[in-house]
Amino acid sequence: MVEIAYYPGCTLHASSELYDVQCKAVLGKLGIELKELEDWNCCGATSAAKTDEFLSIALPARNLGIADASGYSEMVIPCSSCYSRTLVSQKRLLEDPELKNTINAELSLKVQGKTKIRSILEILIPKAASGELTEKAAKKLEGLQPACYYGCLLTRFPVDLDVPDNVENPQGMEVICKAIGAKPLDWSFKTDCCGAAASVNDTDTSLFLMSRIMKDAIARGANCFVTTCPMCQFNLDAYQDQVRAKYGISQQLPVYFITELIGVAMGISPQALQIDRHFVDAMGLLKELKLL
Amino acid sequence: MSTKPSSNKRGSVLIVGGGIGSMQAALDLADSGFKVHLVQKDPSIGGTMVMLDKTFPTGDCAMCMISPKMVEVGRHLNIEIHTLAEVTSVEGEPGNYKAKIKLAPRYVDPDKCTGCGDCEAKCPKKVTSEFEQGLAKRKAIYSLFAQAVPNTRAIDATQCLFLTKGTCKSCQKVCKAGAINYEDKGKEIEVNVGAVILAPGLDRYNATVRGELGLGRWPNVVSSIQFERILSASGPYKGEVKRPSDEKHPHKVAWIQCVGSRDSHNANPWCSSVCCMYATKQAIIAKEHDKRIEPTIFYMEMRAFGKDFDKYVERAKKEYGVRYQRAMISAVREEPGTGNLIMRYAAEDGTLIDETFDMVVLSVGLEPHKNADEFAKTFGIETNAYKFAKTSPLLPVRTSKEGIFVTGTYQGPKDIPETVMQGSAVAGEAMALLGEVRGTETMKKELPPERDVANEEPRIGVFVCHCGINIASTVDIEKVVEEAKRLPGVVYATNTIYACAQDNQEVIKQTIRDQKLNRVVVASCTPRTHEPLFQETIRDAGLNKYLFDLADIREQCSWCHMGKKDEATKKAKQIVKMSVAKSRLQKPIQTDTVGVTPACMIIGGGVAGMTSALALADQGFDVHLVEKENELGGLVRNLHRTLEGSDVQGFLKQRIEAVKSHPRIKVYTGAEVKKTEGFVGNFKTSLTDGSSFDHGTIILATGGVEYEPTEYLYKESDRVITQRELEKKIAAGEAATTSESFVMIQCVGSREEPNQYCSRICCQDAVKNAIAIKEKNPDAQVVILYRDIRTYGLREDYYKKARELGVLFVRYDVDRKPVVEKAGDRLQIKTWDYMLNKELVLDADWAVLSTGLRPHPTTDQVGEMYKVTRNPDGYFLEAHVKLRPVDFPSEGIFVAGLAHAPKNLDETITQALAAAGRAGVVLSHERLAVSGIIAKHRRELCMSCLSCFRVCPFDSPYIAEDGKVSHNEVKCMGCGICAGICPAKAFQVNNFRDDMILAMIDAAAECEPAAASESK
Repeated sequence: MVEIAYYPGCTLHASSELYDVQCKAVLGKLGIELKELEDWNCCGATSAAKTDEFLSIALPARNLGIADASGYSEMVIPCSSCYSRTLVSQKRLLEDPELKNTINAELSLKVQGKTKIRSILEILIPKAASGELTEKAAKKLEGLQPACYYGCLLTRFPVDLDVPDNVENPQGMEVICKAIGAKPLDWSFKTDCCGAAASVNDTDTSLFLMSRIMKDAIARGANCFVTTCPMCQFNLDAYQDQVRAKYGISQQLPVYFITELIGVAMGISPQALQIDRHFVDAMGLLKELKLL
Repeated sequence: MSTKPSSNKRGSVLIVGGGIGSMQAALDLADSGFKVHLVQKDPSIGGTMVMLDKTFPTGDCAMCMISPKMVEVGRHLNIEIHTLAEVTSVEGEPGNYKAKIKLAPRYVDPDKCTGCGDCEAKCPKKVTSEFEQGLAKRKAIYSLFAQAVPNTRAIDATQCLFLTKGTCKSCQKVCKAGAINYEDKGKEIEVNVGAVILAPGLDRYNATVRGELGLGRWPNVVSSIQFERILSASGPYKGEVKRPSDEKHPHKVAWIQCVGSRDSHNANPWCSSVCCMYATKQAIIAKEHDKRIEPTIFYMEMRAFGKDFDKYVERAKKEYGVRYQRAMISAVREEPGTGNLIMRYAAEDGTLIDETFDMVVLSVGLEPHKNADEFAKTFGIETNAYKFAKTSPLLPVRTSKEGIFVTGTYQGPKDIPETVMQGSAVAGEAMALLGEVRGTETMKKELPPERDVANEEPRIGVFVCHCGINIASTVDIEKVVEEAKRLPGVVYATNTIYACAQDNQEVIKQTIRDQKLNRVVVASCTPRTHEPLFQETIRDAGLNKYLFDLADIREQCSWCHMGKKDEATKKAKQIVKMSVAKSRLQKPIQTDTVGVTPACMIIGGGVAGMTSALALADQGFDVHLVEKENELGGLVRNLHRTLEGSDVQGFLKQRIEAVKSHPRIKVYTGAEVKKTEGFVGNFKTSLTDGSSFDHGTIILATGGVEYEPTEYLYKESDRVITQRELEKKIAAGEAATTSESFVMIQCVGSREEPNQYCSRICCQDAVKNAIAIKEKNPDAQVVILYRDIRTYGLREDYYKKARELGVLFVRYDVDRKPVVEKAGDRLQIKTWDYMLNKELVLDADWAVLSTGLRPHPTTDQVGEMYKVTRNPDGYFLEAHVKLRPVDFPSEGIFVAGLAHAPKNLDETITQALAAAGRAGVVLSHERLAVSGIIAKHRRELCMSCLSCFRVCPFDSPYIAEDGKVSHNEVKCMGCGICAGICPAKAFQVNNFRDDMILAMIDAAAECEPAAASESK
C-alpha cells in the first residue's frame, strides 16, 4: 500500500460524502491509502477568493504547511475548487517570498512548498495507462456513454500553471472511461461553467448554463454525465429537474463521479459506493445496462 | 570593378533558405557576377509562397508567379542549389567565410533522375502530405509539389517500405533511368563564400494550442494555410470550396483573426502583419469560387496598412459583401449532428450573439522557426526577445555580425513584396561588400562557333519522348515517329525514353553532327520548363538556339486524353506535324548586345536616394544624385527619433557626410532633370544647372510630403498641432513640462475619399510621441482617437507599452468624426465612444493631428518624363506589386522610398538598398544582351500610322528624326502586341512570324484527311 496525503475539503465531508467514500474505496483497491490531513481547514473556496485576496492565499497555506510537515510527498485533492485554490496558493507563495514569510510567521507548521498537489485524475490516469485499472476493474461498462464533464476549474487557473491535461479539450476522464469499457463522447461543453456557487444566489443564470450543457450532451448521444467536481456534480444532479422543466428537456441524465464508475467496474457494491444517494436516479441506468 | 587578385574576399555568397526572398537575392547576385550557394532544408525550393493559392491585393495566382522564378533559379549556371541541406557551422570573417553544409540522403540520384514521376505513381505507401497541410496524401517517394525545383523525387526514409522493412523496391523496378539509390548516405560539403544571407523563412503558429478554437478537434475548423490549399486548383479539392467533415459546400464561413498573434498568453505578442489582408483575400477568392458563400471576418483591428490595401478591403465589403465584425471570439463549439460551428461574440453594443457557421478558418500568425535559437547560434548572430534576427531600423538587413545579412520573415513578420524587396536589398548589401571580387567565381559557358545554315535546305531531326510512361502509356510513340519520318524536311526521326536526361542530350548532340541536322524538334513536355534546356543542347552542337522547336505532346495531349490512345496518338501526330511545319521556316536569330555606362542617376536626395547612392557607390559604380532642394535630407529632416528610439538626426548627418565625401558620388543640389534620353544601359541626362552626364540606370526616389490639414481648427488655434510639430516640441524638451493633456486624432487626411489609403506611419508616430510624453511626465494625459491602430509587426510592443503607461485609446468611426472646439484658451474635443455608446467630451491643452503622407508634387512630372505610371493616389506604380516591387516595366528604371508608397524609415532604407541591388545587376554587365524574341520592324512597309506607338507598353516604337516610326529593339520585350495591331504587317516577332503561324495552321488542317484515310 502506498500512502498519500488527502485533503477532502468541506464538500467531501458534507453534501458529497459519497465521493469521499468512493475515493477511499477505489484508490484502496488500487493500492493507495488516503491519509487525511490532521486539523485541516476550509480552503476559502469562492468566498475568500472573491472577497479577500490575502485570505484566499493564507487559508490554503495553512493546509499546505500541515501537508509539508506530514512527510508525504503527494497530496490528492478530489474537489476541483479546493484543488485549484490550493495550487494557486502554493504557486503564489513560491513566486512571492515576502508573502510567504508574512504568512509563515503566523503558522505553526510552515509552508515549505514541497508537497506535490494532485487532482484525482492525476492519481488515476497512470493506473489506467499502466493497465492496472483495466486489470482490477473486471466488469466492462458496456453501453455506458458518458459525457465527461470537467467543469471550469480543473484545467484553468487564475495564474500560470503547468496543466497536466489539454486545457480546453481535456482527455483524462476519457482515458479512464475507456479503460473500464465505457464509450465517452466528444462534445462541446466539457470545460464550461455549470454556474457553481451562483446556483444559490442567481439560480436562473445557473439553470441557463446547465441547460446548454445538458442539451449538447443529449444531442451527442450521452446517457450520463461523469465528473470529478463535487460542485458540478451537485448542481447538475440537484437542479436537473428544474433545468428540464424550464427548458423542456425530456431526457434525464444521471450524474456520476468518476470514482463511482470505477467502483462499479471493480465490482464494489452500489450500497458501499452510495450510488443510491443521487437526486437523479443513478441506479436505473446501471441496472438497465445490466451493470449492477 | 577591376578584380584585385590580392583581395582575400570571395566572389560567392551563401544563401540559407529557399523561399521567394532567397530566390530574389540569388538571382540578383548570380545575374551580376556572383556565384551563389543556395541551401534549402526541404527537397524543393519555393518556401511558403508556393503553398498559397492567390495573393493580395491583385488576386494573382501565386504558383504562376513563382514557378518561372523557380525554373530560372534551378537552371542558373551560377546558382548551386543544395536541397535537404542544413548549414552546420560557419567560420571566418566578412568577405571570407567557410561554411559546412550537411546534406541528408535523397535516395534518388539527381544526375540520373529526369523527374518523370513514374516512381511516385508506382509507390504503394501513402503518407499524410505536409504540403497539403494534412488534407491529402502523398507517397513515400515524392516531390513536394508538382512544380518542384529540382524536380528530382526524394524518398522519405521514415516511410519507405524498403528502407523501413526491407520490402517493396517498386520505385527501383519502375525507374528506367536507374536513379534510385537506397544506399545513399548523404554527405557533408564545405563552401568558401564572401557573404552569408539568412532567409530561413517562417513557421506558422500552432493553433491547436488555442484549444478553445477547436482546430484539430472539430473537422470544419481549419487553419488559414489549410484554407489556401482548399482554394488552390492543385489542392485537395481541386479548388472547389468544400469543408473537410463531409466535403459539402459551406455557405457561411467565418474567419477568426489574430490567432496566435497580439496575445502574450500562450501565443505571440507581435502582430503578424499579413493576416488581415490574407483573410480578406481568402474571403474574396472563396466568394469568386462559389457565389453562395457568405464570408464573415471577426477581427480586432483591420490592419490594411500597405499600398492599395484599404481599397481592397473596401472592395471586399462593397463588391463581394464580405462582412467584417469587430469582435474577439473566445470559443468555437460544434453543433451536434451537423458539424456546423457555433461562435459566441459580443456585438459592438455589448449584446451576446450565438451565430452558427458551416466552416471556420483560423487566421494563424507567423513566427520564427522552432529551431531559431540553434540557427542563430550556428551563425553566431544575435536575436531579439522573440528569436527574430536582431536588426536596427537604420540597418534593416544587417545582422549583429558583419557580412551576415538577413531577409524575409526571419527579420520580422512581413508579406511577399517586402520579402522580395529585402531579397534585393541583401543582394545589394552583399554586392557592396564584395564589389571588388565580382565575376571572380562565376562560370561562363564556352560555346563552339555557330554553323552557318543559311544556304542549306532544312534537315530536321525529330525526337519523340516517352517521358517514361507519362506519354508512352497514352500515345503510340512508334506511330508518331513513323509519321514524323514522312514529313517534308525531316531527315531523321527517333524515339527516346527521356529526351531531357543527361545521356540523351549527348545523343541529340551526336545525331546533329552525324546527320548534319540544321533544325531540331523534340516532341515531349512543356516549353515552359524544357525549351531552354533543348535550346542549350543544340547550341552546344553548333546550331543557333532558335532552330529548335518543342512539340508539347504531354500537357497538351497524353495528360489530358488519358485512356484514349487512338485519339491521343492522332493528336500527337498533328502537334508534331505543326511543329515541323514551323521548324522548316525557322531562321537563325542573331542577338544583339549594347554597352552599359556603369553609372546611376538618382533623383531625390532624401534618405532613399542617399541610401541607394551609397550602396551603389560602394559597389563601385558612379552615382549622380540630383536633389531639387538646396540641401540633402528630404522629409526626414523633421524626424527626430524612430519608434524604436534610434537617433534619426544623427543618422541623417552621418549619411549626408558619407554621401558628400564619397569619391564616386556627385551631388547636384538645387537642380532638376531637364531631359533624359536613351534606354537601359545608355541614358544621357542634362540638368537645369547646365550639367549633363551619361548613366546606365535611373532610381526615382522623389519622396513625399506631409499632408497639411485644413480640418480640426488647424491654423485657427495654436493649440492644434501636427505630430511632427509635437515631435519637435518633445525633442526640444518643451512638451509635457506640466501635467498637460493631449488628444491625438488619427487618420487626418488618410483613409477617406479622395485619399482612400493608409499613410502607414501615423499610428506609430502617435504611439511614439505618446510614450515620450508619458515617460517624461506620467501625470500628463494622452488620449488617442483612432479608427484602427495599425502598429503592425514587432511595433505592436509599443502599442502595448503605451497602454501600460496609461495612454487611453478611443475608437471613432469615419462617419462620426471627433469635433474640436475652442474652450477659452484650451480645447474641447467631442467624440462618440462605441464602448460606452455615449458621447465623450475631452478637455485638452493640445489637439495633435496625425496627418497623412502624399506623394511629392513633382511625382507626376517625373512620371511623365520617364513614362512610368502612378496609382490612383499618385504614387509610382511598380512593375509588379508582388515580385517586382522596385522595378518599373521599363528596363533600367527603379523606385525607392515614399515615391512608391507611404512607409516607415526602415522600409524606405530597405527599398533603397533593393533599388541599388537591382540597379547593380544591370550596371555589372559590360554589355546587355537583347533577347532574340523581339519584334522586327520593316520600315519600308511601315505607314507610320502610330498604332504600334500607342499600344506598346514599353515605348519601343518611337518617332525618328525623319518623322517616321522607328523601333528601338533594346526596349522591346517581344510581347507581339505591335505585330497583332500593325495593319501593314510591318512588325513581325522573331520565331513567331505570320508565315510560321500560317504554316502551322495549314499543317493542322491538312492532318484531318490523313488521319481519316488511316482509319479506313
